[in-house]
Amino acid sequence: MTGNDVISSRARPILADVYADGDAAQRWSDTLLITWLNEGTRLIAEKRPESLLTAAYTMATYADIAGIGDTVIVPDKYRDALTDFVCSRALDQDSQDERDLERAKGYMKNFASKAGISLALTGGGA
Amino acid sequence: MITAYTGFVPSMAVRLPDCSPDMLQQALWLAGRDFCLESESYLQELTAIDSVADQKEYTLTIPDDFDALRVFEVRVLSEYDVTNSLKGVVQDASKYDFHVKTGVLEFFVAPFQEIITGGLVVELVLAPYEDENDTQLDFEWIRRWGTYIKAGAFEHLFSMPKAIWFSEKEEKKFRMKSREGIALAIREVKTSGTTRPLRINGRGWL
Repeated sequence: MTGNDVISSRARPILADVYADGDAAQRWSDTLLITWLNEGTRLIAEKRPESLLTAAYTMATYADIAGIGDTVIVPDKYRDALTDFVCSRALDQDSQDERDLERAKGYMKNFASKAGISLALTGGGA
Repeated sequence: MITAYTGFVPSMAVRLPDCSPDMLQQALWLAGRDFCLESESYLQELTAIDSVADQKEYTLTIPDDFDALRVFEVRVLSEYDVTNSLKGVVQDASKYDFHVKTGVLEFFVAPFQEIITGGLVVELVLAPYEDENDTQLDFEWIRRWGTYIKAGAFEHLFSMPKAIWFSEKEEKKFRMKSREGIALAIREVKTSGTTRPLRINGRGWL
């Protein structure tokens, strides 16, 4: 799973942040979304340390991704959870809008559920 | 046919879908070692050793990636025994010591007065390392006790307080199952897999 799989293929379409002609958008920069992707990945790695197991008794060292094409360190099964996390953070940024705030909370709840992390440990939603 | 612990993973993943396969395998390795440590039922006969006249100490070759827990049986064979594939004479445990750290079997009196090829047969109680490459395990034995080793793995996993699957109730259930397996394995070793009653033999003083 690369940063693209989360950000470009999933989070941006959900956030309606893709132009019709396919050009990259945008409301949120790759740099910003990568920052949130790393934040979510780190949270999973901290709260679900087994996500860093690459084989029995072999644990990877956590590392942020620097570019959108880099491979995210946790397994693919967390892809949807990370998408929810990125969307939550992005919508939280627009939280002057009450509806976006509610959506942000909903996505954070989904993240916690899919990642198997207590919602309280995520900050309780946006 | 299951030939490694990974063969147990699919049936365990159904019960614990949130747990990664690597973690399930890790728990199986740990449970397998615990089962061996507690039941002392993983026995392995070493390649027969050539005797040396008047030698009291024999350094055993412990299988790679295993801890030797103790000697289960030592047999001394005559040339006639070796030629005719007989078992030889089982040595009373009071006649030798086994130094676990060095793997040296030390007889108090030299058991041979002559060289006999394959005259010394030793069976050891072993436990695989926790991070054992499990392809070296005797999987006939693993399959025999697999249900209980899996129970031990579940017991270990359900007892992890920070894990989302933590459950005291499940832990207790699997602990009982695991204990049951260990008790059965102990009994099987003590009775050599027969229905003979358990008999405790005290170690001699001489």
